[in-house]
Amino acid sequence: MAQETRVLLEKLGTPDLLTVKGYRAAGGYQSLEKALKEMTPERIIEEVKKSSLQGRGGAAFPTGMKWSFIPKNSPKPVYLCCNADESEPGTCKDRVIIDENPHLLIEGMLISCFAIGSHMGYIYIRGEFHRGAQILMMAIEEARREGLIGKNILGSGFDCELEVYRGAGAYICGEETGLLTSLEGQKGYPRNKPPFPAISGLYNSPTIINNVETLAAVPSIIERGGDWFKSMGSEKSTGTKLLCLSGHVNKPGVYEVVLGQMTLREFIMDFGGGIPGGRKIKGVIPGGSSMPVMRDEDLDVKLTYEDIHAAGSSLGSGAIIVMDETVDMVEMCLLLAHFYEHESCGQCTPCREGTRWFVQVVDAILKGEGHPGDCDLLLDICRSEFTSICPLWVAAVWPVRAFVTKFREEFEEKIRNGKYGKKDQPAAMAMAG
Amino acid sequence: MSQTDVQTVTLTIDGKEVTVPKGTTLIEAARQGGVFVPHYCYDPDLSIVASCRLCLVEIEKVPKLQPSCSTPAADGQVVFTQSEKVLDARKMQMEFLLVQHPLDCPVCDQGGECKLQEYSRNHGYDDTRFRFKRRTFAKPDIGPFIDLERNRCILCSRCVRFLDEKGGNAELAVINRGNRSFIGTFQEKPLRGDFTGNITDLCPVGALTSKVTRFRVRVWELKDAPSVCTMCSVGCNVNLQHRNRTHEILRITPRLNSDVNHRWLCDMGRFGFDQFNSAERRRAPEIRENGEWRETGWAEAIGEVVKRLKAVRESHGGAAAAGLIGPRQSNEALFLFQQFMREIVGTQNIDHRTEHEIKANDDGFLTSLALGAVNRPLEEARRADVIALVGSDLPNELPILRLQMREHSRAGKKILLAYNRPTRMDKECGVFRYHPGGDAAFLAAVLHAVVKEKGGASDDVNALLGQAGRDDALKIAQIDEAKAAGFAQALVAAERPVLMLGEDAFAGPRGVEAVRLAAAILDTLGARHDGALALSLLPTPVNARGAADVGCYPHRGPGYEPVGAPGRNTTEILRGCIDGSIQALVLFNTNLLEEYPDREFAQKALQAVPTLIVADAFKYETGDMAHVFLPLSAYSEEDGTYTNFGGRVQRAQRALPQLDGTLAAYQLLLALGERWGAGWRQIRTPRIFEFIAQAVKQYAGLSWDTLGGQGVTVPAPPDEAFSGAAPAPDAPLASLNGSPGGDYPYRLVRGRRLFDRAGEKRFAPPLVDRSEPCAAEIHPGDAKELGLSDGDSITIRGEKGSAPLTVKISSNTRPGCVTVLGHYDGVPLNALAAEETPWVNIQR
Ligand SMILES: Cc1cc2nc3c(=O)[nH]c(=O)nc-3n(C[C@H](O)[C@H](O)[C@H](O)COP(=O)(O)O)c2cc1C
Ligand code: SF4
Ligand code: SF4
Ligand code: SF4
Ligand code: FES
Repeated sequence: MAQETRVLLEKLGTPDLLTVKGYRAAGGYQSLEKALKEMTPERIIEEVKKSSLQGRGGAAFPTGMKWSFIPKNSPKPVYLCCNADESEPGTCKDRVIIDENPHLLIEGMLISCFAIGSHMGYIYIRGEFHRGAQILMMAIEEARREGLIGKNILGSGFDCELEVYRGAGAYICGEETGLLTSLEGQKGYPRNKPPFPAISGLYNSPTIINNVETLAAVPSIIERGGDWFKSMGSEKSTGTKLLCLSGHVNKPGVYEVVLGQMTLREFIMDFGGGIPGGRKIKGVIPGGSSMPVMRDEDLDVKLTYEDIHAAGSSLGSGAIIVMDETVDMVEMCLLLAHFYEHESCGQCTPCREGTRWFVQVVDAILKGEGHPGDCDLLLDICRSEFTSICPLWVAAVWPVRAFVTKFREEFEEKIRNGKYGKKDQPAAMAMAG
Repeated sequence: MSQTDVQTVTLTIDGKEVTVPKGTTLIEAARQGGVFVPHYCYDPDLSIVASCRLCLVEIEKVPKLQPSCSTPAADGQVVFTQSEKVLDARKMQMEFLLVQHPLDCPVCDQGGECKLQEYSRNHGYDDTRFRFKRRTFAKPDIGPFIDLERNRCILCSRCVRFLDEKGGNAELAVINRGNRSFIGTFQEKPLRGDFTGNITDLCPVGALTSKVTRFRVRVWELKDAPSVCTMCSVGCNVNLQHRNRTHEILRITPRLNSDVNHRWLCDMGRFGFDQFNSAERRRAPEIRENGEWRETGWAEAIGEVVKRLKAVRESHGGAAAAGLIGPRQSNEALFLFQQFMREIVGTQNIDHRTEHEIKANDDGFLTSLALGAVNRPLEEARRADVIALVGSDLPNELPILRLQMREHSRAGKKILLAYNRPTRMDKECGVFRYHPGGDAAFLAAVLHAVVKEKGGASDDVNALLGQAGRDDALKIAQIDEAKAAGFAQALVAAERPVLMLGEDAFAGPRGVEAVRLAAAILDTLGARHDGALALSLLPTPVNARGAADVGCYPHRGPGYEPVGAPGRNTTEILRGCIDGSIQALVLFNTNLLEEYPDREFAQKALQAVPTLIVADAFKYETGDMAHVFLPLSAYSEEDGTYTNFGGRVQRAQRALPQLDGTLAAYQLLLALGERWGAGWRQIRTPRIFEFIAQAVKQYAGLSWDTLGGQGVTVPAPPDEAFSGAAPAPDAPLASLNGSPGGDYPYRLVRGRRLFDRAGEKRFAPPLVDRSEPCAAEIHPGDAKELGLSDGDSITIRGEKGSAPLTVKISSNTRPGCVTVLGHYDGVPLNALAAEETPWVNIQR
């Protein structure tokens, strides 16, 4: 039976972990000391590159490479933004780090700031994480008192400030450019890329945005080396990953595992303790609500980024949502469509209009008012997936396309049994709905 | 930057090679290559958001389609705007945009010029696959000018960006999120900006349309007449959109002219056209006999005028006749007016300066010409790095110049604004505040500081400084020395400073002094370019410059040529009416009782003069006093040329035939000359302009045709015109400003308002709707002392009369002052006290 491998969550349970003292007693802030006193920024970036750490926010972009995009000797200040907006349905891993081991994140951010030449780091935290924000603010306050934040950190000559910024409860502010506009005090509208944030981000200055989990992995890489990190997991999925298991399992929760050691099904069954009532699995969303749903017969895939990608879905943020045989897939599809409709910023045409149209069509099908061509209509709307400003529209398209494709029979059945189901229904009457 | 510094890129668009400057966007590169990419959110004058996604194009080796409005052209790029993938994506966006659209084209005012209609014909699906309830929004009332129909909005945000980036006060926003987003104002309050009409041009669909034009016409019934706006002296280029069948001007839209207004208009100019359609316009000449008005035909009216003027000439000589013409007429009318008075009636008693008491014939404006001022505000502002404005409430005087100031300030230019109260552009400027009436004193204080900074000055400047002591200047302007020094330092530090004077400074009682001080400042700074002094005056009446150029002065003829024996100026003419030395007065296009700063004096004069001829489109109170009233056509009904405040001569082509019963001013003047027997006959505008080009040196070589659609800027008048001009009397600063007398302890300050009921504005109902009644603005300290609160009814009384007003407490007014903004019929502010001694008291 597969086991957890705790790296990020290693110190959980040690006493007084929320305080600098407790964290230090458990070995914390040694990586920071090492980074500042023994390493150059270039060396740190090298080490992170060596580790093959991929961004944990969902897009799995190589972190070291992202950092190296920051222009050297920029006349403008460089910023680090920690993305703690964690709003993707199913995802609940960042809050564990924030709530239980805030100094790990702070240490990771300080090292990262040093590496990219930043003296200002922001933590953009979702509005609903009230407690998390307080914990972070208290931890930052204490770290500042202890000389870990501010001027001349640990006597190294390096200055760095950290600040917590609370969002107001919009999923779109987790998208990195939406986060930046929100952080600037504007409405959380994503921006077109290019320019990429590393060139022109916060206040038009070079900016790195990283997920909480990504930054929290940095101290261990500094402590034990990039090679050690890379030695865990598969070729492409290195290190450990926090997985958020939810839905129809007996033991939902956040588990830290080395990828590649088990299949998706093994993970669900071993860590989740099986399905309540011994029911059968109908579908699994493997990476947060935006990722394509997989059918039960596809779950024997190795749990790595690359294998799940090859199976037509994605590990995304690591949120695994399990649906058993009692779930109505049309209803589930509507639930997700609703979420994206509600969260679309409304700036660009396809997403603003498409998310609502999705809801209207799926809702009609569920209510028995679907038309015979509706599944094709939905799939046709999906064709515009890559025409939006930001990937939220893509995130809205993928689940709809996957549910309609993989569970089309359920949709068609509802249409057949509905008001307009009979094949000989005149089109004109159908239009009257 | 030399030619070789400009980096270019070469790319291929739809198989065609295009070379464009680096940084050009694909959509513009395509345009240069003759390829049009449909777009909604993109506008070349606004920031780029790339949100409508209509302009997506395919770029070789780039997996996703890219918005051409935001993607810079790169060397070697191969771009397709018509590939299957592109057309398909475009079709999808069109379908998305239409799913929620109400499709109410038959009742939509945009119908016929709607980009949604146009693009869906060209790029969309034939049929809709959308069968659900369309989203609908509440319809707010956002003021008298603009109609907002949210259900038609495609959320391109052009309107939002315009009002934020150009219009100045970011009044519109996208409210809410996702497909609950809608355009709105804060708490659904009405729009209050000065440039809101431009969003009706920018809106690609029928979501923002002109409330003033709404439901009165379908766009395909409208015809364009290329013209210029005559509501202020910027001279914005416009189309007068009209319908012949009903003889109406129904819409004014901008006509692109990047040297003047670019493609923007202010709301006053755009929405004031109902004055031309007004039922109040007179349609027949009238003669007053024994106190009774009687309508008559033109033959009799013209005969009566000629008879009366001839009689005066015969019995008293030509010098007993006088003529005043408002600076709003075309060059042709102004030219013929002075020609008629000089050549036919035989008098030099001519003036166009009806809004001020004239103290010296060579007033502030003429002094500026004599001192070599360049007087080209629009161009000068474009070239400057520091722009200093003194004595102008620009937003209320010359709106489009104010819009351009905002652009300049956003482009990093420094703007210094010295005025006696806050203005709507303060936040874009370095603000300097002086006491009302202290314009010249402020300039004197700055001159002292500039000379100190530069460490020396010419003898002339030193002589001027001797007359205008520093301490007096600071005291009168009520400004700190450090503040004046700050203004001076900014000028000294500038690479190319320009100075602009508003009417408060150059046309008021101390106008000549103000201009001389301003010129001395620039002289000391060495701010000359091609010999011209970087000084521009900002007159507001539409053709103030033209009236001056064609010689509507008592002492200068066309082209500023001095005349032998000068005639009388406005003030002297009125005095002559009272003392009997003027027997006949001809007024063209001036409501003197409203305009002249001393109503009592003007009224006495008009009552006394035995013959008063008034020609105007509306009768006003001045027309009521006439013996003969002659109804003029509106400017929209005659061809004419106008010279804007920067000396740009522009054509205004007639839109409609003349209103029955009216004559164009120039036709009337020609008819008078003809009837007189002077050999004049009816000729058309282009021919009259030929005469102007012969008579006015700076206009030499111009013709109606060479002016073209965009106009031509004429040079400053030659120095000879001013050689031997008598230098203005030197007024020691100490007398620049009296102080309030015991019975009248407050200073009455008259400020401007773009939207009020002055002149013809009262005949345009939308402008009236937008205006607010005048109030007496009083400083909180004074109000407390007087026991007044907001809304109290008071009487403001001066030596000459009184006016009822309500109190508005505001620290925008300085202690010791009562400020009244704008003009409102029924509140004759020029009837209280003389211009130079504006002292009043406040009574409950
Ligand atoms: C709609 C949307 C929502 C997102 N929300 C989050 C989020 O809550 N947290 C997060 O870390 N990344 C989120 N992302 C991903 C970020 O845009 C970005 O890729 C990430 O923060 C980069 O960090 P990483 O490289 O460390 O993964 C979201 C992306 C999209 C399109
Ligand atoms: S894709 Fe959706 S969320 Fe992203 S910018 Fe467009 S409308 Fe906003
Ligand atoms: S009102 Fe017009 S200009 Fe404004 S966002 Fe809507 S469509 Fe665009
Ligand atoms: S700025 Fe002056 S000329 Fe231009 S539209 Fe306004 S009133 Fe007319
Ligand atoms: S015009 Fe380019 S996206 Fe709207």
